[in-house]
Amino acid sequence: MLTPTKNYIDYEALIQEDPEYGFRINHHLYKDEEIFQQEMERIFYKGWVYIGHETEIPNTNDFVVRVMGQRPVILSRGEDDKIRVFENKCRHRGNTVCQEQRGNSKFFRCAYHGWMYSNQGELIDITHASIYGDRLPTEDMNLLEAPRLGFHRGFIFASLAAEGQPFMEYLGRAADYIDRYCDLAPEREIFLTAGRHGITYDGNWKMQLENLTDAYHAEYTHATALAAFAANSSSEGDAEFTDRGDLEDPLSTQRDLGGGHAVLDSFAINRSQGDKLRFTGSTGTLSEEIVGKIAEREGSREKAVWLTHGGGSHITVFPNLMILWDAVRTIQPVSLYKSTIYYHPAQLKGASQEINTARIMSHQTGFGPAGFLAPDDMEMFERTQLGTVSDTDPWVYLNRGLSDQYVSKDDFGVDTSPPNIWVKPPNGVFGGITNRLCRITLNRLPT
Amino acid sequence: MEIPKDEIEAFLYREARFMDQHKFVEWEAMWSDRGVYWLPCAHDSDPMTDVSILYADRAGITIRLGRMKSRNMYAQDPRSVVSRIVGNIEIVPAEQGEGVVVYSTFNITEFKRRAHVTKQITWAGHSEHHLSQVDGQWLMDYKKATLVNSDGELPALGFLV
Repeated sequence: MLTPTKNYIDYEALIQEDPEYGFRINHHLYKDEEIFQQEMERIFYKGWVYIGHETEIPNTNDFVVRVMGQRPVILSRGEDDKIRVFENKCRHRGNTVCQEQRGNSKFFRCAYHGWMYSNQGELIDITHASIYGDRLPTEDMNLLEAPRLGFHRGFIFASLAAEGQPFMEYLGRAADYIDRYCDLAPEREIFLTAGRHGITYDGNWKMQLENLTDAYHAEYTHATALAAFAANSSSEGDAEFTDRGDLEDPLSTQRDLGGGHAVLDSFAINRSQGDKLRFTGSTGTLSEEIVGKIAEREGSREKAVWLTHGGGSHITVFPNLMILWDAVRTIQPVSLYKSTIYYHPAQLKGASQEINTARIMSHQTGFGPAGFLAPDDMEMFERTQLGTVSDTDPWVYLNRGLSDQYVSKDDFGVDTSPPNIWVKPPNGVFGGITNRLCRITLNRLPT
Repeated sequence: MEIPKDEIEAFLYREARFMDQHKFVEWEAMWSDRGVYWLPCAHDSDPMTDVSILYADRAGITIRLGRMKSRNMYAQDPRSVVSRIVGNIEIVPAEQGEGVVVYSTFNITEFKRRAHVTKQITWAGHSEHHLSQVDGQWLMDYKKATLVNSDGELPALGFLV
């Protein structure tokens, strides 16, 4: 059997942490085809990857198609109501067996030669099977199924590796932040039934991953969006985000949650602005309706106010899931130089339609192909990618704030003001993610 | 009512020119007070329950244009060169009121010029305008523009469609 030869990549040499330069990484991490292939194999095909949400396939026989790394897959709720992830690939000639983005079907039939599979993955019909005589493979020819799935609060993850890190261990402390986000809904569940839209950029997938915990860029890249939001806000507190100025302000905290997961935590800044907060919130969650319903649920208005101030946190779950404000988004690496970001508005179960519509509206004002924020980010990613062409100085700096990191005694405390949390001020966590990424790629995962 | 075909067509061509030339003030003046501007993500979607590429009420249109006028909207720095053909214009009386509903097809070529990288992108789709007259002037009450790839993966869309 042919075994592809893997070029050795010295990741340690591509990441430098020293007193002179702080933390810097080599831009080859964004432009090397071998590195990209290793990321696909070791991160997207061996590790845990977010696939979709249970509310996208609520009914028996529902399915959606997704791409895992670069592999087409089907997320299916079978006739037995069990959720599975299959590679969208006929075992005969390798054609995709499902051509629709979503739907409801008991079967997936390959149109090329008519082979048919149940939505539980079983090969149930080989057309003209007798012609094969005794030459049919004796092994299982069912659809290739992801051997492991992980579920948390409706979020579905999959791993194509039969063995490896247990799911909850992988999710780690990111689970707490997902819980906080879901708990913003009166009935503690979000639902992703509003569909999705996608925006593409000509740049490496890690650009978006790193950007989500980069509070540094907001007031520059998003100057026009922040001005538009501030100028049209209905309360005086809304402009606070733009006026914050000092980015070392501990109100903006970024935490390394381990495992490549990170959060740009909005709790402190939200709480500091009390009821005036809108912009850094999650739409509707500070409304009387939601606070009231959560107060009833929790039996405490104080607790409801505290919980709802978690809105707006930017949660990054390595490698491809991000949850912030009014939407769940995923990063889709398309190729080394091309990526797509998909956004699914997250509606709150138990909230009025008015609140959920406001969330959809708020989301698309900011994000998607014509949002106020996303297109400017995409532009920056493309410019960053262009910068990688010039190798005269291949180093890029992600060292801002590293000198001010500290570890908390209780990083899940109610009071998020220092020194009670482990804080990586703006861009510190940047390094955390990239560092983690490269270390994973550095043969730390089971091969 | 007798449909003033020439007037309506001229309105759409004028709108196309303003959009091509990024004439935001002039374009905004073509809207009535109750304007709704919508780019759906799917042909059969409901803007109240489904995500859209863009959905703006009259106030939202003004806010959006305010950002587009800025030189700091980096997705349009420098601004795209845009050229569009509007055709297949079909005008029918509105089911209610005195206005008209106009169906048309658009085909847009966008040229994104950057210092070192340029891109040419084709956009296409169908528009539905609801127009009514105010003081003898036709104005847009509603515009829905459905891109052929509305539910696909799109590059940043930074000009008017």
